[in-house]
Amino acid sequence: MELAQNRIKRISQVMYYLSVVLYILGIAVLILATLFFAIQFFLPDDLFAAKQEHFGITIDNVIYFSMNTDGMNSPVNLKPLLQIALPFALVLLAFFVVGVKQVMEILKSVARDNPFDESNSGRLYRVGRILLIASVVVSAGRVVVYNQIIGMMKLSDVRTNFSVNVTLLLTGLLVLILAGVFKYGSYLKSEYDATV
Amino acid sequence: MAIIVRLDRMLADRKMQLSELAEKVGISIVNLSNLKTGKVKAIRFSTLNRICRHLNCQPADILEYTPSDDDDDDDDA
Repeated sequence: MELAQNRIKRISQVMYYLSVVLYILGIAVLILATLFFAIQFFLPDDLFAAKQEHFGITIDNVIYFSMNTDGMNSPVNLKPLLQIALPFALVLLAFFVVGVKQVMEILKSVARDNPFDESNSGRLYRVGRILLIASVVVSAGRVVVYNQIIGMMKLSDVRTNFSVNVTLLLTGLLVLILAGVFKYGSYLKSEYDATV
Repeated sequence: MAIIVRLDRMLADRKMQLSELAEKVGISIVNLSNLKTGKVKAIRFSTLNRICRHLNCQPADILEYTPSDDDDDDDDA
C-alpha cells in the first residue's frame, strides 16, 4: 500500500510541475492574445491579406483538401475571420487557465499526502462546470468561424451544423460526480482525524 | 456534546503528566490534549483500553454523560 502511495505521490509531483508550466504558458498566451485582439482593430487591413493562390482546409484533421482562391476577393482579407475567432479563443483560453489552476492545486494537495483536502471538491466542481460550458462554447465557436469561412469563400449550398461537444459534456459530468465523491471523502477524513 | 471527558481528573489522581500518558498510550500529545478538552468526535476502543490500562481505571472514570438542552448535533450521525 505504501509503495502504491509513494508512486502516486511521485506521479502527482511530476504532473504538478507540468501543470505549472502549462499554467504559465496559458497565462502568457492569454495576455498576448488579448493584446493582439485589442491592437488588431487599429492595424491596416494589408497586414491581414493572404496572398496565396490556394488554401488548405481540413475537416476534423482527418480530411485535407486544397481550394484555390478563384472567385474570392483577392487577396483574401483574414481580419474579419480573426475578429470572429479571437473572442472565442480568448474565452476558451481563460477557461483553460482557470481549469489548469484548479488541477494544479489538486495535484499539489495529492503530492502533500492530502488528497481529501476540503478545497478539492470545490476545485473539481469548478473544473466540471468549465467543461460543461466549454462543450457548448467550443461547438458554437467552430460553427461561427466555419460560417465566416464559407462566406469568405462564397461557397453556395454549404451549411454548418451545431452540436454540443459530447466528449467535453460527458467528461464534465464525470468530474462533477467525482467532486461529490471527494466531498464525501473529505467528510470521512475529517471524521477520521477527529477520532483518537 | 453531552459526553464529558474527565481525563484531567484522572491524571491529577494518578499524578501523571499528559505527555507521560501520551507516550505510554502511543498517541500524540496534541490528540490526547484534544481528547482531554473534548475536541474529538470519537475514541477507538483500543485507545480507551490503553488509557484505562495505564491509568488503572474504568472507562466510567474517564467518560461522563451529562444531558444538555442543546444536545441535538449528534442526531444526524
